[in-house]
Amino acid sequence: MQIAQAGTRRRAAIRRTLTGWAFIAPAALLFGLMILLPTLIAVGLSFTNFNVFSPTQFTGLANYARAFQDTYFLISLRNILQFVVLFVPAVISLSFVMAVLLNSNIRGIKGFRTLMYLPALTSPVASAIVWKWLMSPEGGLLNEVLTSIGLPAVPWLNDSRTAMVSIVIICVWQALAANTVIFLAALQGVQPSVYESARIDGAGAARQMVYITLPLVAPTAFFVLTIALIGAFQVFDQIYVLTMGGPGHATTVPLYLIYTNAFKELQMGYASAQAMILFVLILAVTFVQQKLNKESLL
Amino acid sequence: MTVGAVALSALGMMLAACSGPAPAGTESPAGSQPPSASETPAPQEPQELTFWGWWDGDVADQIQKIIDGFNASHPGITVNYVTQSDMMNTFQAAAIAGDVPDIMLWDASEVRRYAALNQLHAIDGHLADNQVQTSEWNDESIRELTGQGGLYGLPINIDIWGLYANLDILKEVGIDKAPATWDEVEAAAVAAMKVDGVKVGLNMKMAPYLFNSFLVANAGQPLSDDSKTVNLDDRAKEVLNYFKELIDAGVYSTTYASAGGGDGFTTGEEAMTLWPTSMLRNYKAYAEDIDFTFMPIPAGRAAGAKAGGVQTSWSLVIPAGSKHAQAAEEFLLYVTHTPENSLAWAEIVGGFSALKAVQNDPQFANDPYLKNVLADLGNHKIRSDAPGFISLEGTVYGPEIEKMFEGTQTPEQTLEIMTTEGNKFLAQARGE
Repeated sequence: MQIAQAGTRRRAAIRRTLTGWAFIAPAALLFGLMILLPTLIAVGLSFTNFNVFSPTQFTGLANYARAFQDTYFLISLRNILQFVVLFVPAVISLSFVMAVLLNSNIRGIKGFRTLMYLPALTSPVASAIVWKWLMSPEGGLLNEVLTSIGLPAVPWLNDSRTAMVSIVIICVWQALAANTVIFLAALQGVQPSVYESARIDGAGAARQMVYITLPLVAPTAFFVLTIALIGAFQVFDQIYVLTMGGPGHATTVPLYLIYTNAFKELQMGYASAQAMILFVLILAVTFVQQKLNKESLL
Repeated sequence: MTVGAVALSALGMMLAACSGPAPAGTESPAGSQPPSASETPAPQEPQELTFWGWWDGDVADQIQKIIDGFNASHPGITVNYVTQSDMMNTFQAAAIAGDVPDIMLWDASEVRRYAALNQLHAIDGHLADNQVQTSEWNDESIRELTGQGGLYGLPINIDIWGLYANLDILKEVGIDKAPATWDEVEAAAVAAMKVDGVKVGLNMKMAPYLFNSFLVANAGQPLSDDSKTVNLDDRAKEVLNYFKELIDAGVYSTTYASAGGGDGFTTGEEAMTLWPTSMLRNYKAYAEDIDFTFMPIPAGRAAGAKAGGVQTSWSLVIPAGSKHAQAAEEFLLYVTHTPENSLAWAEIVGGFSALKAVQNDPQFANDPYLKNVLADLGNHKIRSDAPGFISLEGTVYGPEIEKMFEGTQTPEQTLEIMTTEGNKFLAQARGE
């Protein structure tokens, strides 16, 4: 009897396991074909001189050695770190503030939530072109506003000292909506009774924010941080459309160099090595960030 | 664009290489040779040729007229024009998949690179068979299409960068003729700044990327004799010092942008600007409103300097994997070697005809703008085909000079960086 029950349980467990695998199979297959396999091939290519047309030769670590001696690749790494430092805190803090505002019970808030999401639905290329007009040093809307209130005009994308900040502003605007929605979902997941108890105990809005809201949305914030970090390291569209890495290399980022080396210079092997270095950098930063997150959540 | 996307593209190319016909040149050095007669359909069989070009709209309609002329005079051959806005990338994928077009409109400065990769079909044989000499076209244009011991395309125009000057503005400050030297340009630009509405005496946005053109106009030579190192001597230093002088004189600011994002030359905000001859198509539309002129980059300050610079062309090429190479050769010769077609191409894509027989045609000699260039056309030189040289301007020179424009480095520092990084860049491009 016990043996029969054990067999039934085993069969049920196997069925559950198979069902689980069946559910994830399409996603796993796509992941394997579209992400894992190309990445593994790119790893292989990074040790070759693959240029699309000529016979491919193994070049060992030459591409990696070249990358670390390539002044402009090193500049691009410096630039991307600058971008990450500016972009990630800005997008997380602003999207959290937006989510808090959108979580209030103001009349018409649902309509505003919908409108707020529009930037996420806009093509990065199309919106970049609009931003180019807005940021035009002469006659651009932003400078018109600044000068109308007595502030000096800003050269925005035209000057190496302000170009990266301008790109950050555009990217934050683009990424704000999606992250706000994630924070909004987290905020709405907090039970109203928790706030009610706090109010009964005499906690004001600030205390509720510090002792209830922030701790309860912290796991969501860490998720947003991870996604924002990875996305920040891969900024490309806005730079390709707006600055082409300039002026004076001020917005040259690794992905832009990878693109030009791969598709303009036909140096796929070298571009793959640069992509691998970027991959390791993202992996390292994400690993450190995850470790810090776990420690702070404990 | 992500790391995965780059890797995925590489994967696609590799898979295509595995599954499709072998890309010409990857297995056989004979990839650049014309297909044998047995591979090419007999001439009497109807042949449909695909012709890839960058342009669409009105320009494509004008190109179609040339094609129609060919199709009408060549029974059995039909050429179909297809617009490819991202032709380089599309061609890379098509070449690997073995499904290339028969004819392409190609930037001549890229021809020798793709010829070296065995991706283009040599056409010397067809010219010899038809007793056509390469000397019938502009020598520099032919040199730009010659490599690996063969000729890999035919030029359809000659395009140069030069100076557009608004004569209305210059007249207001007492200058009644276009400036012809660097010093005259500087004087005109400084004077023009006094005119109401003028924001820049000379729009120098593109100047950092025209360093080599200014160097040639200053009797300089961009590369050493063995083409392995950059040749940034005193004449190069003069170019940078001249740029710095103009910036210091206040004739241009890096923060300048035309109001409303339009073209400041057409709105009178720029007294002078730097653009190629192909820009004439746009500017001629304003000819009734603005009295302007066009000239080559003026002569520099060095001994022996002449107005001139770097020239390039649009060319017609045949991919090595073309299935109708012989018919494509006929098309190339017909549309570039006949005077009326050569003139039509120059009209369509801008600049001058590359066919010597019509270089002094009234279309150019009587053109109020192009006629100024004719005498100096011979002073223009093509870019070197040394590995990495074409990218040098965009990757090293341009951005470094932009930094100088912003005042973050001096001309001396800029020259030093351009030399160090330029030499490193060329060495890396050679695989050293």
